[in-house]
Amino acid sequence: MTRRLNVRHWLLLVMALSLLALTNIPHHSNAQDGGTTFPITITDATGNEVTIESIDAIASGSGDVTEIIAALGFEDNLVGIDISSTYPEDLLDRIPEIGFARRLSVEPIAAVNPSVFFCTETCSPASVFDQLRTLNIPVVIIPDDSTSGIELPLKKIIMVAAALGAPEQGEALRVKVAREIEWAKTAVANIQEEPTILFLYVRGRTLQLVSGTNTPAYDLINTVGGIDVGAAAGVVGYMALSAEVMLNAYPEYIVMFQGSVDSAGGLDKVKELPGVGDTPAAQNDQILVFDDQFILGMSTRTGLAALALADQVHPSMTWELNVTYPYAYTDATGTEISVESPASVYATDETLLATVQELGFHARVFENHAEVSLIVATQSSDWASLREAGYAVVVVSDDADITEIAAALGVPGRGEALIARKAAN
Amino acid sequence: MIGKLSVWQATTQRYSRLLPARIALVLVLLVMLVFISLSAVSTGAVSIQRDVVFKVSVDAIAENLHLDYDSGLDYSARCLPGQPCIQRDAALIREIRWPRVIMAGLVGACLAIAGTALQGALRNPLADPSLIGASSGAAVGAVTAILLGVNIGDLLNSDAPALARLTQSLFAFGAALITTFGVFRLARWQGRTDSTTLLLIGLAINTMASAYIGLATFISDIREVNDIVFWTLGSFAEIFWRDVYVVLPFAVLSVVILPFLARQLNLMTLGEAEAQHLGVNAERLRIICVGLAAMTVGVSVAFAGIIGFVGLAVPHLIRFFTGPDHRIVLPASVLTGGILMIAADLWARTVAVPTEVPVGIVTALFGGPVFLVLIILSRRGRG
Repeated sequence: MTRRLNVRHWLLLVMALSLLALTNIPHHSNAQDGGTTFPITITDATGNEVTIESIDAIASGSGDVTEIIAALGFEDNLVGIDISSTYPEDLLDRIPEIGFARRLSVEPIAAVNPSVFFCTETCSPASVFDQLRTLNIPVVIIPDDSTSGIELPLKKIIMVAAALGAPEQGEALRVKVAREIEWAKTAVANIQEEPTILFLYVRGRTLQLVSGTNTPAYDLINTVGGIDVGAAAGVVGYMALSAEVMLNAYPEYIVMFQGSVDSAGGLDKVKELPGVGDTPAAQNDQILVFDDQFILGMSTRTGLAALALADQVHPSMTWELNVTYPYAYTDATGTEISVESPASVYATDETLLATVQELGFHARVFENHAEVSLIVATQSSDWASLREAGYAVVVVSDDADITEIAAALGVPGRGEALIARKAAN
Repeated sequence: MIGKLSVWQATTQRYSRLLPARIALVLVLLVMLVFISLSAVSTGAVSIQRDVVFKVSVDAIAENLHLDYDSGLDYSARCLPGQPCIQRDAALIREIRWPRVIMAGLVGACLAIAGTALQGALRNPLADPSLIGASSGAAVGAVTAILLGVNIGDLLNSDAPALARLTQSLFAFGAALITTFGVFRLARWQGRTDSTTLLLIGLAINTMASAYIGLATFISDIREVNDIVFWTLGSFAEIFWRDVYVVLPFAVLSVVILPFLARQLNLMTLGEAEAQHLGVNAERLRIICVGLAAMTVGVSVAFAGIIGFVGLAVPHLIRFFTGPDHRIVLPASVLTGGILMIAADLWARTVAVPTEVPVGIVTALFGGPVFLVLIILSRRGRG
């Protein structure tokens, strides 16, 4: 026997063993029980008719959709979520991960045994949807187009709610998010300056993109009254970063994802990217970093994200992002009241309510409610007995203007902005 | 220092003695192929009992052949969340895993046999489907389709994702054939083709192709980059039966025709002039081999993207064990290519659950070191 022959036998053995080893990879699945009866048929964003038999086990392939499902109260029905589902924060600790929205594959989704799968138009590859359909898993595609602008979250909410058989909850959530988006528009209504802003996306050393028109960043920047200098420089969609592009844009503010900054290795490393260090944004430390899903998820928090961005790019913004509690106010009855942080705000009639809502409060009309923290009442209402009953009540005159109501709520700056907004309309 | 296997080489004329050994090797490889296929179909993010896999597969075959057989599995059992579900598992096995595993096997076989034929016909151990421009040409075609946004679906008023992918596949296949033909045409001088020139021209074309793909990656947006990664690193994640039906005839064509050329390929190893004297039309042999290779590789890349290294390494691996006789190297390459590709794809889709690694990365990751070891060992063997 020769040595060479032994080596060959040995090699063959190793190959055979490694083939065997490959076949014993561990795997597990997870799901939960439920017992709702449906079926619902809806037409999804791609025009497909989808029949949903049950929503007991929902898998979501995109963070924005997960956020909406949770906000509609179906968090406990989720059996699988993608890695971009970072809100509510603890979901990823509790629910099995099924991949990433832009790089889905069929088996991890099938492994959680969902009764319905949600994703958006930008999920890819789209062939995974076909594969899931062959497994009789209904696939609902939620709109994620680049033409809906800042209204996109509202379209998403309506479709998710319809698919979950919860149109009432959907309408309530839509109204809430739409109202928050209105707040952001109001907040910038009395501001003249138009800051120049650029969105920069970074994934390590290999992928650095600036955004232009047809992107969520463009819609958000427009909503807060900024100039998207990426779009102004002619970028459509996304374009690779270069010193030329960056200096052509020359932004006063650069908006980035926290994930992008982390992958670049920190803000200092971001400033070393081509051209970035020479922009006013870098020199004045105006690189704004937000949570990825919060700022551009185009989901339930888009209005709040716009407000947060507006607050950062408009130093002269009068709209108070947060109310300072407690504040003292002498109301229309001459009573000086100290208003503590209200968990919820109520108004005594519809007209008053509308203004309170426009001033940045998710208020409701008062109906003997146990957990009232603040009631805004008109002078003609029965404010005296409310106050006697122990409620915190601020009274405004019957023909109260925006300034008076805003002062009563401790947000005079918001009042100024709202007046400017109404005048502009 | 002559081992049994080297004796084969010394006695190439005595076909009859070789026959039992050849049949034995092919049988062993066939058994391994069946084993790895069944293992691959039973393994994945969804765990399915092996007997269920077997029963579902047998039922599917019986159903298609209209045989009166029933494994006794209850397909109508209601599927509840969180419980094993025969209905869904059966669909997974029949519609997702089998086409995927078969496609991996076919593509592995195609690449390996194309590599073997090219190395034999060009008398160059470096010959590889990607070196004659077939792979990179296909990728250029697909990337062009992505960049131009062309889609047959637009003509048919349909936005089915399958049609967009089919368009890319057609572009890839067409570009593979055109590129290979171009490389071959450029290398042909006064009625004959010089292998070294052919490979050098292929290299130049490859450089241009990768520059083009790099450029495309740079100017395209995030979504398109994902598509381009698929074409340049390969994947079996999006395979349906319809794709298998397209690749199958090309694979069968090569597997049937090439063994008939085994004897001529053997004679080519003596040297081109010697082969000519022994009645081999070297130029015709080269044209047939390059043509078949371009076709099989083109169709493989069109559906699975570029998967490197299999076409180059598998023929070397086989020759290391069996010696250079093409009558055994060709069939063994087909089976080994299939086995290795199925194993590579199995690893690619299970190592990083819930995501997948491009299979081209796996073949290079494992193929590279194995190839190195082979080269070093065979050089030592030669003394």
